[in-house]
Amino acid sequence: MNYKMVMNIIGKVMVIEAVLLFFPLFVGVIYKEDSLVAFLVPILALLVLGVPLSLIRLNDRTIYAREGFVIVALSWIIMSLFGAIPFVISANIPNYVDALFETVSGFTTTGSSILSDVESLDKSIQFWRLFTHWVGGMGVLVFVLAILPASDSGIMHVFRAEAPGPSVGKLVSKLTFTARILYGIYMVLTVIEIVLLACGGMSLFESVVHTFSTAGTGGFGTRNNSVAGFNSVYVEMVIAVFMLLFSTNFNLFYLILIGNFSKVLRNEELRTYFIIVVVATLTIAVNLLSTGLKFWEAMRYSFFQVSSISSTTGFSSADFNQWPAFSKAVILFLTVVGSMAGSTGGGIKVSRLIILVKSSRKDVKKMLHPRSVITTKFEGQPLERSVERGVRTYFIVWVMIVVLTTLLLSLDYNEVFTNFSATLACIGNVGPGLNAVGPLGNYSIYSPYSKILLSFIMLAGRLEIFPMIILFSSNTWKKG
Amino acid sequence: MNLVIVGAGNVGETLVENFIKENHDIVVVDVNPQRVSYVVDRYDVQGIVGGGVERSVLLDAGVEKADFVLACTSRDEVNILCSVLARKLGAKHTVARVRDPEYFKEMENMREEFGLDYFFNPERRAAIEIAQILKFPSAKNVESFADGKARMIEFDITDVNPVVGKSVMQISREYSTKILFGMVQRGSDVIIPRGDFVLQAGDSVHIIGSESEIEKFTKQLKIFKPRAKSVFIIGGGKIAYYLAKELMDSGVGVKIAEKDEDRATELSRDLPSATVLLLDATEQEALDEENLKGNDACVTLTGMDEENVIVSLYAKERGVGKVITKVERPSVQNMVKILGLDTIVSPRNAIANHIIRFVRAHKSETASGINTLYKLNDKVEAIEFTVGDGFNRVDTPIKNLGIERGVLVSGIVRDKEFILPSGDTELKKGDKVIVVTSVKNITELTQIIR
Repeated sequence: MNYKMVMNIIGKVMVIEAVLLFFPLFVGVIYKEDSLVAFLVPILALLVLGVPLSLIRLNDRTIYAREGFVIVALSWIIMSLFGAIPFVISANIPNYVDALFETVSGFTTTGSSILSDVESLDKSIQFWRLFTHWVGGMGVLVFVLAILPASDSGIMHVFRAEAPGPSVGKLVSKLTFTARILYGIYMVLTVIEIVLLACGGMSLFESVVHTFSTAGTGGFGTRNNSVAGFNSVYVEMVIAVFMLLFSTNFNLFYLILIGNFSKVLRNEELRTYFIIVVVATLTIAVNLLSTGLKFWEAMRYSFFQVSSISSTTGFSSADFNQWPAFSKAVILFLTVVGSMAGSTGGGIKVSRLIILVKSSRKDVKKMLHPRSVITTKFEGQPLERSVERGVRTYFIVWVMIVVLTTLLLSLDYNEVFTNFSATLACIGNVGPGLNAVGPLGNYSIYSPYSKILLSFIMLAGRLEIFPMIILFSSNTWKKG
Repeated sequence: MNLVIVGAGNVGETLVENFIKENHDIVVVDVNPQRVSYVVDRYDVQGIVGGGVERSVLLDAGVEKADFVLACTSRDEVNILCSVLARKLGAKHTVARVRDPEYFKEMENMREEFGLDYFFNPERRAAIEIAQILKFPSAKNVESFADGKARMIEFDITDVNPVVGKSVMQISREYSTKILFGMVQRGSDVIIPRGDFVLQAGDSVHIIGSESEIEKFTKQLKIFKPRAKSVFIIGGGKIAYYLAKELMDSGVGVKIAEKDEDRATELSRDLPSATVLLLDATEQEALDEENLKGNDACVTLTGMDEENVIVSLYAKERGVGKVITKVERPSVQNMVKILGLDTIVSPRNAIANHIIRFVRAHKSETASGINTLYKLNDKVEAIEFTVGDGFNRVDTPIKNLGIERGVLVSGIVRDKEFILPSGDTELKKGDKVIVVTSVKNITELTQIIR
C-alpha cells in the first residue's frame, strides 16, 4: 500500500471540500444568516488537516487497484464526516448521526432524508444540502483528476473506482482531459436547466438548488412535498426530462458533441433504457386509470415518477404510496435497475442488467447444447469473460447486502416491506421507498445504528459496492 | 502530438512508457483485451481492442488525425498492412516494425511504394548494439555518434581503479586524454559531473571521446580489453542471425549453438562461414566440449531470459572474458545486475531510442535537428545535433552562450575529427554537437540555450 500517495490525494480532496464549503457560506452572507461559524469551522478543520497532507512529498507515485479503491472509499467517508458539521453547528440538525445520514444521502445522491420539515431550514443549509448532490453526482475524485495534471502510473484505478458502470472507457487519451470533458458537459447541462426552471417562474434560488438535485440525480428539495409543491406541469416536465438526461451515459453526449450520431443511435444500453422508461410509463399510466385519473393526468404523474425513479433521483409529484400494487411493483423494479452506466445515477445499471440477462441466456442454451460455443456480444463487441464474471459477482454481492441489510433493519423497525424498500432505495441511491419511507414519510423512524448502517449502504451503492467492502477487508491492510 | 501505437507487446509497451513521459496523446490498439487493459491501467493512454488492419478499429483510434502511427505487433505482415492502411486513412507519418530478414531486405526498396516513413527492426538494432560492445569489451554499453567518429562508453569504477578519489579535473590533467565524463550514476542518483566532481568506487560512468582516445584512456586505467576475435553465440534466433552477419563482416569468428535442428539447418544455409552447432546450451558438458572458455566472448540470445542468465553465469564462471546477456523482461533486468552480469541487452530498449529520435526529429522545424538520441536512463539523454541555419549563435565561445543548467556540451565532430569542447570552443555551421542533458523533450539545438 502506497500510504503517502493515498494520503496525498485525500488531502487534495479535503482542500477541495473546504473550497466548496465557501459557496453555502456566501449564500448565508447574501441572506444575512448567522451561518458563518457553521461553515468556517469545517473549512478550517479541512484546511488544517488537508493542506499538510496534500503537500506530502512523494517519491513513489505508483498506485495499483488496491490503492484506487481505498482512496475513493476513504475520500467519500471523510467528505461526509466533515460535510455533516454545518448541519450540527447551525442547529438545523442538532444530532450528529442524523446530520451524517443526511450528508451521506446528499453526497451519494440518494436523497433519503430524516427531516420532515425542510422548508424551515436556513437558506445556506438548504443550499449546502442540495449542493452535495451536485458535487457527489459526478464525483469529487473525477474533479481532482480534472484540475490536476495527473499522469501518475495507475491513477486510472481511482477513476475506475469512482465512476459508475461495469467498464469504464476514456473519451480521449489523457485522463485529465476526459475528466474535464465530463465536467464540462455536466456544467453546461446544469446551466441550461437553471435557465429553463427560472423561466418557468421558479425563484432563482430554488431553480439553482433544484438543478443541483436533478443534475446529481439526488432528490433533496426545498418543499415538504417535493416537486408536487410547485404544482406546475412545466416545472415537472423540465425536471423529468433533465433527470433522464443526467441518467444517460455522459460518453454519449461527447459522441454527439463530436458529431458521431450513428454510434449514439446504435448504443445498446441507451435503447434498452429508452424501452424500459417507455414501457414503465405506459403500464403505470394505464394502471393509474383505475384510480379514476384521466389519461393525460395519469401520463403526467406516471412519466414524472418513472423518470424520477429510473434516474434514481427520487423526486415525487404525487404520493405513489397510494398507487395500485402493480405500479408500486414497477417502481420497485426501476429502483433496482436504476440508470445507465457512466451517468450520475445509481442502481445496478441498465448495462449490468443486459449483461446478466445475456449471460444467463447463454448458460441456459449451454445446458441444452453442452458442446456449443457461444460468443455473447454487448455493444457490438464480444463480451469479455472477466467483465461477465465481474457483473455476476457484483450482482451476487448486491443481493447478499440487500438481504443482510433488510434483516438488520428488521431488528429495529417492525415492518419488513418498509425495511426492504428502504434498503433498495438506499443502495440504489434513489431516496424514497414505499410505505413508511415513501414519498411523504422519512427515515427518522430508524434508530441511530440503522442510520449508520444505511449510510454505509448508500456509500456502497454510490461507489459500486467494492470500494467499501475492500476498505473494510482485512486483506487490504495486510502487509506484503 | 497524437500517436497511435498498434500492438501492445514488449516493444509497444516500451514505446508507450517512453512517449508518455514526453506528454504525447497516445491511443494503444491491440487484439488482446488483457494487454490493452494492462497498458491502460498503467499509463495515461486510451486503449482500443481490435485488429490493426481493421479500418473501423483504426478510425476509432483516430489515425486520420494522428501524427504518427507506429505498428509494432509481433507480425511483420500486420505491421506493413496497418501502416499502409493508416497512411490511406490520413495518418501523417507511419512507422512499421519489420524483423524478418527477407522482408527487411525487400522493405528497403519497397518503402516508398508502401508510403512508409520508417521501418525498424529491433532485433537488428540489438545485434548492432551487441557488435559495438564486442569491439570495446571493457564497456557495459557503447553508443556511437556522427557515424562512429565519436563514441560514448559506459563502465563501472571498481575499487582498484586508479581514478577513485580523484576529481574530473584532476583526471583530465593527469592522464592528458581527450575524453570527457558525460554522466555518472551513483546508486540511484544521476549526476552530470562538473570539474570538481570526485569519483568513487561503485560509480558507473559514461565517457565520450574518439575511438582511439577512449582506447588510450582505458589502457591507462588498466581496464582495456582487446576487441573480441571469437564469439560464442547461444541461441539461433533473429538477433543471432543479424549479429553473426555483423561480426563476420568485420572478420570475427562466430559459433552459434541452437537446439532446434530445423533452425540450425536454416542458419547453416544462410551463414555459410559460421560454425553452427546443434546443442542444448543448458547441457554444460556440451558447451565444454565445444570449448566455450576458449572464446573471447559469449552472447546468450535464447528466447528464455532464465536460460540466458544461467548460461551467462556458467560462461563467466568458465572465465570467458566478456559475457553479454539478453534479458527481455525489465523486472528480471534489475535482478540480473545483482548476479554480477553487467552487460545486458534487450531489443525493446535498443529500439526505443531510435523511434523517439525519429518522432522528436519531426517535431523540430529548423535545420538544427536531432541526428542521434540515446536515453541513458529516465533522467538523462545524450543527443547529437547538426548545427544548421536555424542556429544563429555560431562563432560564439560556448561559455558565452548561456547554456541551460543540466546540459553539458560533451563533444564536437568537425570535419570528421573529434574535438573536446572547452569554454572557449566556438560552434561552427555543419558541426555535429553532442550534448548530455537532463532537460526534457529537447528537439533542437537552440533549446539548450537559455
